[in-house]
Amino acid sequence: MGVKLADLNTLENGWLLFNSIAESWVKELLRLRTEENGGFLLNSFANDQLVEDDIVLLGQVEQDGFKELSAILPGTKRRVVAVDGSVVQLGFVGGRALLSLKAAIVEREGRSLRVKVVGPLPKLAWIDENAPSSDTVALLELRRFEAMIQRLVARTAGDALLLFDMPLTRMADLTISGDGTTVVGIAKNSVLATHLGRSLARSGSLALLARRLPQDPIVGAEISVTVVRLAPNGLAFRADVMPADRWVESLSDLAASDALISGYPETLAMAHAFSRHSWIEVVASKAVLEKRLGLKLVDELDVRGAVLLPFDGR
Amino acid sequence: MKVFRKSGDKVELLALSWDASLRLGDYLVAEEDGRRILLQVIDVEYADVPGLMEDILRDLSGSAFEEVERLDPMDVLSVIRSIRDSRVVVAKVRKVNNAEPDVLWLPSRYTSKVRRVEVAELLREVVPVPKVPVKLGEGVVVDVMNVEGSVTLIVGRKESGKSHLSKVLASGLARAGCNVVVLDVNGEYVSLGRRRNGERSEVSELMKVLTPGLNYQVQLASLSDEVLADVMTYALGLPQTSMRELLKLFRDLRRRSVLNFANLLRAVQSVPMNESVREALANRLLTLESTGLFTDDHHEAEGDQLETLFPPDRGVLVVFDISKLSALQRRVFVEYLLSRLKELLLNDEIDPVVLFAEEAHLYLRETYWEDVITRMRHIGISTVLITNQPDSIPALIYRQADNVFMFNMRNGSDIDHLARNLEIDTETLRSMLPNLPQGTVLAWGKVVGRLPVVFKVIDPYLMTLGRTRTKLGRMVQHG
Repeated sequence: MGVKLADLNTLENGWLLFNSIAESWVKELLRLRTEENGGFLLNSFANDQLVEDDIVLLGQVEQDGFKELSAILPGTKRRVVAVDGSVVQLGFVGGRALLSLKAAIVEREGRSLRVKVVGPLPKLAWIDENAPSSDTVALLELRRFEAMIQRLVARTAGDALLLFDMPLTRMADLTISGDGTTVVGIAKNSVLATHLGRSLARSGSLALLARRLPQDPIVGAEISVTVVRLAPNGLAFRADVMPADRWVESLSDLAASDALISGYPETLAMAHAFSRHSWIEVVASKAVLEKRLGLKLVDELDVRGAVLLPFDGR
Repeated sequence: MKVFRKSGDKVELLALSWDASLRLGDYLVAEEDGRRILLQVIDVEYADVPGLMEDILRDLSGSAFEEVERLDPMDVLSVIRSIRDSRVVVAKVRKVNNAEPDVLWLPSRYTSKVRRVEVAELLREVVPVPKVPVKLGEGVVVDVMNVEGSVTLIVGRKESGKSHLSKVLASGLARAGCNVVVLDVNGEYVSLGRRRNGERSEVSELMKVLTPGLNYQVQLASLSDEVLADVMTYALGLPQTSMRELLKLFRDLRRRSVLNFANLLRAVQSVPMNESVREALANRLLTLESTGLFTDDHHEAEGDQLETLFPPDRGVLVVFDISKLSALQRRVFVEYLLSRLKELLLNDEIDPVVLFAEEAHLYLRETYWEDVITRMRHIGISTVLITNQPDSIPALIYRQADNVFMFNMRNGSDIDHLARNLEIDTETLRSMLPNLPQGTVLAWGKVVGRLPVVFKVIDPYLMTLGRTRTKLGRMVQHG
């Protein structure tokens, strides 16, 4: 009789695994109550590639023009699942930044809306000696966290349009279920959209800029990098689409399936809203850590503030 | 709970929702290193939490969702809920370090401990151990020595519980050994001798119910010159010149032992005097006789020996049921009673009495109010005034009042009237009085160490007849 392995391709089992990961983060925190910890000087590989990536692509497009242009077509209404996350630095514990991570998964199918909120979850950040500030460390942790949720959702999404709040080229690997899942990564503040959006027609239109492979070319599949104006007179965004060859259909389906706010998918905007840490959540997380886990949190020393306030106007 | 900020005598404390089981008037103490500040809760507001509007809007938008699921292994949500609903408890400084509130010391916002103080604990600290204890509320035992010899006011709107407290107080005083006289204007004290289940109450042996004109009449010949003068002058408005004429005739007939209404009236008609004086005297005498409160016949007269109602060795509760008397009869009787009590007290024939007067403005002359605070209590008449019209009691009474019991009151001008004349600030009264539940009182004065204290008056299970009488009520009761 063989050992029965849990099928991670079901959502329930996926969340069970996630739960145990979150519990391991808490256990790591608890160890700090008793142990004298040294520094953890690890993890300096991932830098913010976004701007660099955008600028390279922009140069190429300005030199060669769009690879392909298309209008938004009449799309098919599909289930839309949006994922977004946020991070807040709660303080320092044992010399390491203590973060709070939170994510939201919003699912729209016709008029039905469902939301799953994950967190706030406390997590100790790895210390990155090369990171210019603890903010960067926090962003790296956020990307790891988001990627974990995104992978979990992608594996189990079925025939759905997945919306992520980031360019897909930045993802190390992404495996999607083979039953018609499409992933669209939307970047709001892309240099590409700012510069190339003007070239798009005011009516709904899209332009293919490039085909790219994700950071891990062995695991990941090809991605279409596009600039898109989903709604007439709406804003233009960078949108990365996977599978790469279905970029026109996928973005047309998105325009047909979701409400658009200034051209931005409402489901992703809702995921953004539900994933933000409110002030109350930050205070509550600190209270839980201090009162229930007995941790002592120390705020980061604001040298500028300490030296110059109250006369520093910033 | 943590001290948040202070402005003047007002302190704001931050409390999470689980601390919010506070009630208006509750006492809190903020302590630090042996020093303490005593605070009284006068209001509770929502805390102005940063980002609250965004948070509520997000929550509101969640109602459009078919399903909202949360993965929250740390159970942060329970704390979030509590912070969202956090409160600002508004309190007034009542004492600092057991001194007055002008001492410049404040507890630390972070290290001071805030805890609730039960009324019983508070009273133990601010009032000496009662020599003659009477229980008025749960944990509230007052020394009725602070009621006898004092002016006590009980105010509140209709059916707020004033009469209930006055019955508890009157019964307690009588049981403690006081001479209690009740002017029962609504006939609601007459059944205090019975419990609601029909059994005899603890005051049944001490109680005597008298109805003037019915089982309490006074022989005309037994009236002293002073009592007659008070009744004729203050109750019937006889001018002084006419009074002198009447007294001459009154003394003459009494000296000859032929004093009765008929002879007095005959004398008025026959003796030479100014015609207008004659007419005034004749009218007043006929009116006095028509009240039925006074009689010629020594045998018919009952209860004329007022002094016998007050034995020196035990307390007594004498209820004069004046509910069925006309306005004139009430005025005449009350004037007689007060005048006679003064006489007996001045002659040391009885021990001091505590007089309970409900809606006294309906039957007491205006000059009586000054008497209350100048002469009466020195003579030995302590007064407990009960009213639902606080402005019917003059300001000078409030300012001299030793104890004030305030029940629910919603009329702003009534509350302002109290605030103007008492040592309690308007904010406290405006916050507390409209929100007091029925039967709960805000007490202030000697009995509670001059701190405003809120408590629910005990139910002594006495049969009370103070409810509003309605035909529909009777029909419903009888099916």
